[in-house]
Amino acid sequence: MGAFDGGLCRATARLSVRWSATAFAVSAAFAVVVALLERADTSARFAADYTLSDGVLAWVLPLLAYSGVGRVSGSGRADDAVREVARHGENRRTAFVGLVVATGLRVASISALVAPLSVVVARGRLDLPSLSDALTSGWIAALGGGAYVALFSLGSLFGRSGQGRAVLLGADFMLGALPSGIATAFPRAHLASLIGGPAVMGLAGWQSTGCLYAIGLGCLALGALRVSP
Amino acid sequence: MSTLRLKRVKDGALDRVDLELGAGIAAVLAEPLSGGSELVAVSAGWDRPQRGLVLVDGADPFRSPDVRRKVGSLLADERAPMAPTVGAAVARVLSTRGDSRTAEQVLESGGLGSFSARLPSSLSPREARSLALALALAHPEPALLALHEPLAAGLDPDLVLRALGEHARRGAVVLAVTSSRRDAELLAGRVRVLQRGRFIGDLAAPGLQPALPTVVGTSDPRALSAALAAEPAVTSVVWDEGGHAGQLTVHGTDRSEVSLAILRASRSSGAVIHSITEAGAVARIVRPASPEGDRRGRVRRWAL
Repeated sequence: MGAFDGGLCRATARLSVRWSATAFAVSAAFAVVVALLERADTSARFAADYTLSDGVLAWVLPLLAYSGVGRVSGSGRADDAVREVARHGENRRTAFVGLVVATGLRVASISALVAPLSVVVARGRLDLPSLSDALTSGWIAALGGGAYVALFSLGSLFGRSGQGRAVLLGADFMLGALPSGIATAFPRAHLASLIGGPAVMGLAGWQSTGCLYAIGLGCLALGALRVSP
Repeated sequence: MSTLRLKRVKDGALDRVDLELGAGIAAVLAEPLSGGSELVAVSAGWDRPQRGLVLVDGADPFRSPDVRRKVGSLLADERAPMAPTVGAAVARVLSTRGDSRTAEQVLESGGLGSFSARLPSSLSPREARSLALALALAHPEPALLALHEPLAAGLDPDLVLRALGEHARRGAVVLAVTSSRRDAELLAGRVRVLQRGRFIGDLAAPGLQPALPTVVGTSDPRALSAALAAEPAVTSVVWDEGGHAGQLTVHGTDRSEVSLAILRASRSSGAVIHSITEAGAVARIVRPASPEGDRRGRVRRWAL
């Protein structure tokens, strides 16, 4: 087993089935409550949009990713989490990439289940348009979840206990919602744009998708560079 | 012939430590919380020092996977490895090192054959230390073995001493940190003393004795410290009136002698002792304080 597999195993062990089930249950419960409230307040179509924009993508995704990265990092630095893997000579940098990839996949999977669920509940029926919206929201949430994990993993390489991820969480909440160029650096703005919200700096949907990929891969690459081999 | 060099290393309790070792066994006598565990961790590349430079054969073990591959380590706090079984964890390490032996062979060589099929989570902390030491000793060609309390890790001390001697003869640097004077003297002829994060000299140097702190909780720290001052086994007594008003930190040359001295001082001064804690160990109450503070029962209950 190599360093990448070691990082994968480390993350998989930390994000156990129990953690994943709990994370899904809490996220789904929150999303369903928001969906029901929105449905009671507005039409079915808008209820789904508001549930996604104000509930799932704005709150569930960042907090789920933050929680997942914190869990994997043992509430410390992400590179400390792979010390055991690197101890006998495996590359710490590669192990870190494995750790982030596994965490990203797990968070993306949970996000991809919660978002469609919230759409279906908000719509109140399971027909073709709802199913199409559910699938679309699923991949957007999965992409957003992955981008958030990479962002917070990079943050957790700063500070003695990885406090940088809390700084980035706060920055995403505050700066990601601003109608300015700085918002393009955070997933929040692009996720809002992809589900029909205001475009960030006039970027088209496919460009926002590209930005989310860039944020995810860029943060992963920067994080790998920051970790000592 | 391998080398280990530490240059002005600061990490945790370690305070700008300089050390240069060549092939052979170097024993370090370190009282708890004086930097012994950090010394092992930074030397093995487990931790990056806050400041300073660590070089094994001229390269930083924290930054170089190739160097870490040539290092065997036993840390102060060993945890069970992450793998389906202990055998699988050992096999992974062997594969990383390029060692063609099987996990079973390595475990058998350390007398740990029964560990192979066990779940890592079933290992006790002592068993995890035994496993880590067995893995370190089984290294086919180590440049450095950085070991914390190697003779108290659960393996046969004779086997450990033989293996360390063999590795040292073949050119490895063996850094063994211990808080036991007896173990240190068994490990090497020359014993360096690490105290409060700094090397203060060799154990054999005249007049140099390590001070081992014991924390005493008492009803009357003033009377007890006055009585302890007359005890030859006690080298110093610290009473922090501001922080822990009822606590004394007692330093001495030998922990058993210090404990007896505390009992004698308690008897002569009449100070009731609530607790005795070895600095660095998990705090444990020796005897809970009683409201009456019965002086006659106090010493009898502590009969050694």
